[in-house]
Amino acid sequence: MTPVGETTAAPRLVEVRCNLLKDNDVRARGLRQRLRAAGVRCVSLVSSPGAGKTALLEALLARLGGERRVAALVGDLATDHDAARLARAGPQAFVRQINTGTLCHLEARMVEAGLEGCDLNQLNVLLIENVGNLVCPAAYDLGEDLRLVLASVTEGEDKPLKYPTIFNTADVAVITKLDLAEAAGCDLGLLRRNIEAVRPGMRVLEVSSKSGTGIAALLQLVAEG
Amino acid sequence: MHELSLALSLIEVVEEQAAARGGLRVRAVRLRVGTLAGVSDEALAFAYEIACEGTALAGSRLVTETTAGRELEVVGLEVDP
Repeated sequence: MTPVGETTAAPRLVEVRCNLLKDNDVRARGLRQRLRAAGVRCVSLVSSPGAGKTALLEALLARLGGERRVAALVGDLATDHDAARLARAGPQAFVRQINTGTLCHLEARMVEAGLEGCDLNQLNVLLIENVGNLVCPAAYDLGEDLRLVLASVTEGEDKPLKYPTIFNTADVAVITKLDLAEAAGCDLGLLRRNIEAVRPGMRVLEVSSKSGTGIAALLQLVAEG
Repeated sequence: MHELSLALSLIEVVEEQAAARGGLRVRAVRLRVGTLAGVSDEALAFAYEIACEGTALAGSRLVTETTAGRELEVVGLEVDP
């Protein structure tokens, strides 16, 4: 026998309408406004671990000298290894490591905290390296103008098919480690077709941070849009 | 796989909303999960169940509707009449 009481009565529906990612979205919008007002172009990098984000940033930082003032924020669960590498590659740049502890992605509030003490008016370019992860970073806007998703030739051509969300939330795809394509037996045409399949019309660049191939084109995109 | 932290934010939002409406007893939370939000509704339901233990929301359920966008939205609450 079912007891008669309030728990068996049909529930009442209360409308709420609240976006759970809203706090991050609000912060990201604020960041984007602050960066634009200060004339800072902000570019973020996402990829799986080991796809070559830090090497690519090293290659960019080494060439982003001169009149352009650059800052780089790098996210990892632990260690400041990447920040140390980037500081060596770009001694002129403001480099800061963000340690996320156990968190699998960067959030806008971490970018805000990472920029504390950095005078945005003294900057032209802000580069953000996300935690190596093809899943969670897709859900968090960091206030960037441009999001690059990296796919290395050693990862297999079907990465875009397996992780479509990250390709759909990024602006440009960058195929990295081009110098290893032949050794890895990577079919570049297939990789490009797979990117096209999940994100028709997506711009794709091919680079090798080691040899410098394609870095000039990427540099232009990063610095000027 | 950040569903646990999302579940914690979700509980915070639901508790806030329930309290603001005079302490509603929540039976279920209706959610809209966009396919581009990067969230697994199964993992979220699992995390939610565990994170609810010991709170006023213990025993409440998540009812998710899959949508096409990037949203992760609390649409409404099913509460005791």
